[in-house]
Amino acid sequence: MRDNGDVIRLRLPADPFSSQLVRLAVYLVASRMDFDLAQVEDLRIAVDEASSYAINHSPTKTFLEVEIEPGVEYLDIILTSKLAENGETRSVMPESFSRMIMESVVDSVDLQHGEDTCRIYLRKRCP
Amino acid sequence: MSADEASRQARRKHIKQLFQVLRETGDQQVRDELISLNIHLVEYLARKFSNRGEPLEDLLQVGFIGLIKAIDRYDLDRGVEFSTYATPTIVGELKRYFRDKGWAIRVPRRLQMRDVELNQAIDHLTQALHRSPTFQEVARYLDISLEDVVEILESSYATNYLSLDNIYMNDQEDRGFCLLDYLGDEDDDFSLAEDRDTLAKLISHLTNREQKVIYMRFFRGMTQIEIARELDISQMHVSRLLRKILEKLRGDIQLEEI
Repeated sequence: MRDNGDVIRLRLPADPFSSQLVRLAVYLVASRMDFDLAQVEDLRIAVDEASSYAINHSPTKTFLEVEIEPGVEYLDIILTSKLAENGETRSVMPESFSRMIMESVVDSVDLQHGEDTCRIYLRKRCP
Repeated sequence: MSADEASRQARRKHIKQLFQVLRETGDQQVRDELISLNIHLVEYLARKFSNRGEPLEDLLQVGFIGLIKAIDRYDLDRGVEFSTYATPTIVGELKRYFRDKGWAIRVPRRLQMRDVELNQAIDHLTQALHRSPTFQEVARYLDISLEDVVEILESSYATNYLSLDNIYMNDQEDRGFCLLDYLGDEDDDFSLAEDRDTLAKLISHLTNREQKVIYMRFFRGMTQIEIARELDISQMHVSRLLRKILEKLRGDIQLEEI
């Protein structure tokens, strides 16, 4: 499933329950790409952190959009959410610490705050 | 000698005789009689654990397993009373039950049982392959589908690790350990300095051992398998600890609005 350009797209309410759905989707995709359990657990940590970050920075009644792209070399996961006005957040987990957690478990992390969107890009090299 | 004391002595003597017969003949009826004679011990010990949210019937069953193990292992020549010997065995069985089955939410028994099998399979495959197994390998080993493996893993995170402080650690280096000691004021590798105060508050909510797990994983970059080896626990246990700690950090933040 990794080389035919498929992209799995999810659009979910930006609330904590959605983290679980994102995690399950990533679990299933990664498990079919021959990632071993330790690598999948790492992905889970990254996705948990990213979705938690995105959800906590988004206003209520908005959506979290997730793209999962299983490629030949990499598995890419992109999370996009609306950014609350004035960068308000329900979390004060320091961005640097969130970033550090994600960087510890995947190969590449890009966390961007646009004018009104938050975009987190995670990349994990395929086994 | 009081009547009660005489009765107790007669009982002890009878139990010793039964063990003697059991040793010589292996007679299962004698074994059954020994079980019957010690039911009260199981009931007494199980009730001590009955306020922890598990049905007494389940605790009694677990206690009986401990009793049977104690009967099968008891050695008359040690000169210890059977009840003295059996008590730690039964209590150990009950404690193991709570450790292994301490579920934070009610998970179907089918999944609880599968979780135990899954953990054993992962441990076995990790040792046999000298690496972390893939989902497919685990699914094949257990003869279940990939989706089942995912389902069991996900449900397994419902386990309750209130005993987080009790993870086995043999070394002394965690004495006085504090993660903040490792958060440099100005570390080029991490842009943490500006967040140091916030982090300090967050991390102060973690125990020393939780800090150690976080430090090993995210600061030293150790893999889950490496941490598992160092702490002498399974990789799955490390995985759950990490998840619990990160959830705790996020939960602390939202609750306390630091």
